[in-house]
Amino acid sequence: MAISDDSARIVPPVDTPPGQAGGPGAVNPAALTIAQLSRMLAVPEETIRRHLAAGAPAGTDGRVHLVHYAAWLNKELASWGENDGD
Amino acid sequence: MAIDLTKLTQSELLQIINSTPQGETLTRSRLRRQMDAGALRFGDGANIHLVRYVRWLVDEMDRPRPARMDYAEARRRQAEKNRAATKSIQDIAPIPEIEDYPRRKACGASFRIFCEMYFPAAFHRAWSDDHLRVIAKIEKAVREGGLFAFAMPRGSGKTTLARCAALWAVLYGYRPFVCLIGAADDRAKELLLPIKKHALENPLLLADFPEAIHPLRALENSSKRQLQQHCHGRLTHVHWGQNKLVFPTVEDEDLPAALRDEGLEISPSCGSIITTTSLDANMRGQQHTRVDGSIIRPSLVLLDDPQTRDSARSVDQTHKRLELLNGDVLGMAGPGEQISALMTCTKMYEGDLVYWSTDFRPAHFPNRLGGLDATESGGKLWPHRN
Repeated sequence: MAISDDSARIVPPVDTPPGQAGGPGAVNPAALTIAQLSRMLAVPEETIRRHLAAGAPAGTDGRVHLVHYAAWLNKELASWGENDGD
Repeated sequence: MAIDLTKLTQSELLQIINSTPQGETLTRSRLRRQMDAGALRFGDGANIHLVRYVRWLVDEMDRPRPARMDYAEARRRQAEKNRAATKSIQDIAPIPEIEDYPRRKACGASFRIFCEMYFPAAFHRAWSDDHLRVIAKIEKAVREGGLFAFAMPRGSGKTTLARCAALWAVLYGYRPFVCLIGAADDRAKELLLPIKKHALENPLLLADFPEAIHPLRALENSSKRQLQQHCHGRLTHVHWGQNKLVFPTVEDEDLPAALRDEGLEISPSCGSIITTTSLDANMRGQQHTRVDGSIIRPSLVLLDDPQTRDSARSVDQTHKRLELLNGDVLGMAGPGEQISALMTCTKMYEGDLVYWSTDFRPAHFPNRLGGLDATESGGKLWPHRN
């Protein structure tokens, strides 16, 4: 998996203005602050905080790895029986 | 080589999602369902944009959903669903109509025609005079009562006649409880097997006795299905066992039209029963409680070769069997009730059970059943057989 150094440049934030993708202001999807993640996903910070309180993985510095977060969301949805086709 | 997180293939997404410390959280089949649900929202239909995908997952998490069921509740609901499905399968309605009611009625009036019509493979040879006399005796015993023993050569069809007599008695409602008795337990079980096979496989029986045979056939030879079998919600109370066969309770509007037109409210064989036992077993106390609470006991007993070669050779065993015959068997109907009995047998030795039970011994043995004087080998019962 190669998403460390260059991934911040190749992952443009959703609904972010052109020019914010890549470059000096680019974010690292392996270590996102709640604010960065909130902007990237265009979801309220409160939603992310709620997920973190419910067990979404975060580093000791409180930063979130986008892929780990996606894995946790899938795990939660699976436990709800979502997308199981039942 | 870096992967383009804006254009992930499904395999790439699976690899990166499942490579976290949380282990496998996404299966290929679930991803396929996710693609079906939102591929154009988080990709181009084929490839996946990771950020948009995560956003879609967050939306899915926040989507209103029914209250989360705990495990017990989910299990209860699934069990309820399974029960409903099972119940639906166990409904045997509608009972088919009778294919040829005049044919059925004609066979009810004549045991011989019944045998020829519904069991042509077993009775394809011409009847001998002795056969016709035996058939007449069976008819009389079934419809009017009596005790008859008939000694016939091996291979003359006596066991088959006995089995067919049991079916004839029950299907037409002549006798509600027929007990087949063999010499030993294993032999007794074999007596019921061909009757069950006819219930499962004989197409003409199904065509003319649908109210009796259709529910039995619906069991598909599985006794597990008998408990919940019902017709329009009413249990049929069938029993499909090794030693016991209880015919279904079918009533009122579930009956075929021909029977309703005759004014019948229940089928002639409703709740009738055929059991098997042996002289070796404890035969006492044979009874059956019907749906209406009434208790019935055997009113017709068919003994098929009730002696073994060993018992026939032994004076003691022969006397013991005679005692059982005259005590337990003839007392099966209960105190004060008259039982009908037919015994098919083959004489093996002088002084055996058959000798004492039939006209082989002209002297008046006080407890003998009486009956035919068909000889052991003198009368060729099947004209075409040696």
